[in-house]
Amino acid sequence: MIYSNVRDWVNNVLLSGDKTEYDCINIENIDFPVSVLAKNKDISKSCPLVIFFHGSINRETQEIPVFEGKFTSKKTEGKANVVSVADPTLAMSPILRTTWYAGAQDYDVPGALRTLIKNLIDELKPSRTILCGGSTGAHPALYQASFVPNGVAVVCNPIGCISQYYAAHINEYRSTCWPEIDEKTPLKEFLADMSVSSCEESSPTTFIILSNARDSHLVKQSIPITRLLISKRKFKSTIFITKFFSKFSGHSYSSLDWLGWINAAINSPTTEISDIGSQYEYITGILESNNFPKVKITNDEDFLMAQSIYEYEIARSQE
Amino acid sequence: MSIKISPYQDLPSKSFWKTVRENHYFDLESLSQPISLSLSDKIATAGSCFAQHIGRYMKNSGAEYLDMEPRPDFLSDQDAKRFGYEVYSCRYGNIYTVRQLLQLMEESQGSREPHDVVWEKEGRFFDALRPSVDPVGLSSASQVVEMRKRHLKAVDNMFRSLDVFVFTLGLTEAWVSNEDGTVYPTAAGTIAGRHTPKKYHFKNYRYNEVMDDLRKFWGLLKAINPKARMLLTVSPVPLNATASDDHVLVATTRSKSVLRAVAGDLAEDENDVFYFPSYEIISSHPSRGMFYEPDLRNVNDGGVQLVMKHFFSAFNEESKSSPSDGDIICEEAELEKFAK
Repeated sequence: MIYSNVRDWVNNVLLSGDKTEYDCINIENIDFPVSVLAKNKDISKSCPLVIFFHGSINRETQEIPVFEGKFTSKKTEGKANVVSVADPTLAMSPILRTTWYAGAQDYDVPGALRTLIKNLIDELKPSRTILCGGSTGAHPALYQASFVPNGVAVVCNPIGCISQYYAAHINEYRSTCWPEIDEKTPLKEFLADMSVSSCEESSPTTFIILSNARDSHLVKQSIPITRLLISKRKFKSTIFITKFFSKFSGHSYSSLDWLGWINAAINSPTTEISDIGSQYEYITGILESNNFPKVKITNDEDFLMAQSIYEYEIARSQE
Repeated sequence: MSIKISPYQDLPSKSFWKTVRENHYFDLESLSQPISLSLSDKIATAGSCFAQHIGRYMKNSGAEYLDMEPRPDFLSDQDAKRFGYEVYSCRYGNIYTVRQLLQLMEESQGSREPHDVVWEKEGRFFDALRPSVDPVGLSSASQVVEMRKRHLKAVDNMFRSLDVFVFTLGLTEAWVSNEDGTVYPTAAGTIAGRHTPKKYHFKNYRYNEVMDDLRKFWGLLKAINPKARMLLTVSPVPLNATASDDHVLVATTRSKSVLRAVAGDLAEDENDVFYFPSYEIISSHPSRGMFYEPDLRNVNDGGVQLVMKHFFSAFNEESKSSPSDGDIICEEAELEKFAK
């Protein structure tokens, strides 16, 4: 269903008892597909609002709209309103794989998205707003976070600087969405190339940038983004965490760890980085003890098992 | 009519390095030549450790995957695997070298009888030609021999009934019996048995030897099963140890180069033999080593998933994700304990 304003969507979808797969909210003539992933227990009370943005997609195997953050549903249900917003820019052409929520000529997705988030905040009056995205989905999370009061951005493996991504993807996006702009014109002339470039020194937003230590985009993305934020804001409310995972390498990230930081941002008493960090330590302390690997050691039972297998196999061969 | 000024001008984008440079590694396409294979084919797998991943994905993708030695009902998933069930289509454990594969074929057809098939360790007895299928061994040598006979029947059935044999070439280095030339999957003394220079010697197979063995195996397979096709891959897992004089890094490149060349050449020569580039997908430098675990040897699940995505796209079947499996069985990994 398409809602013409955020208030109707909030009343009919978010605050109602039912969950729909997704609905669209029309903002400034752009339809944003929005899915509800979790709802606060007590709708009359102020609670955190979490908004997810997705990264690049495979058009052969995935249909649009795509919604990031489903892995958080069970762990955030009852504690926060968690919504996922899909990128309407992708609907412009079936060849597009990633568009950074950056819109197109005469199709101002970043501006309309800013209005959508503002309207959501006006309606829900959340205790804080947490913007999340991984890979290219981190671009809108970082970009929009600068405009959000009491905001926290929790991103992982960010591709937050468009021009530093793969040329084939950029060319695909430019030629489809910005056909009238000369190909030599730098991206920053007509869109927010660097996601955090508009973040002011006085911005109260907290930025948590998570990066897989083996992410191949670390040098061209996470590090310059962090450097720019830190240089602008004198180390205030920005942390960059690069972490090693034996099970995740390259441009992938542990959803468990990401969820840990998101939950820390939800449960923390304030949006101060020190409080969120302490909360994360508390949460992950529990998670780690629950995930201690179980090791099977050879024991006397194995000798009996080997004999049983022998007897079973010989009996089977005589059948 | 346009005039062709260069033989390269009409080639597809996959022919130019530009496509590797300018695309995300996960977006590369057409890495494999089309493979004549469908999920309705009866598929059997064998080979070195990496082949276990292929079998696991084939099973979970609804393929007609042959399991000729099904596990006893009383074994849990974990124990079944520790005892060599559901790792490959038969309970032969890892087959690292082509010579091992040839021996297995010959033995299953009754044309070869190895002299030394039982190794002892601390009063327990192991099948020397598949020591990884039993973590504790059996209580007598005769039990091992009985079990082997039963196993060889299952192997014969597999070779006769399969449509496609997926084989992953792993190593060129092997330990050989001085007595009858039998090749073992691991050196005596690693899991069981005792190494003595009187009984065993080291052999590093060369291109011609590997090619001759593979051709001979292929001839024997076609003789008993004319409809058989074969899909070859090369394991991207480096050697855990080398017994050659070379550095292990150099020995790995030598070994993989020989195997890659043999697989490619046989696939070019034979209509029913195909090569799938799992080796290139994992170990080529544009992947920047991201598909290896922290030990820089084992392939992580992200790498396996990408390989299987390309694998299934080569015959237009969709890859279904398979539960991650960190318990790949690999006797060669046992060599680590001897590292200084």
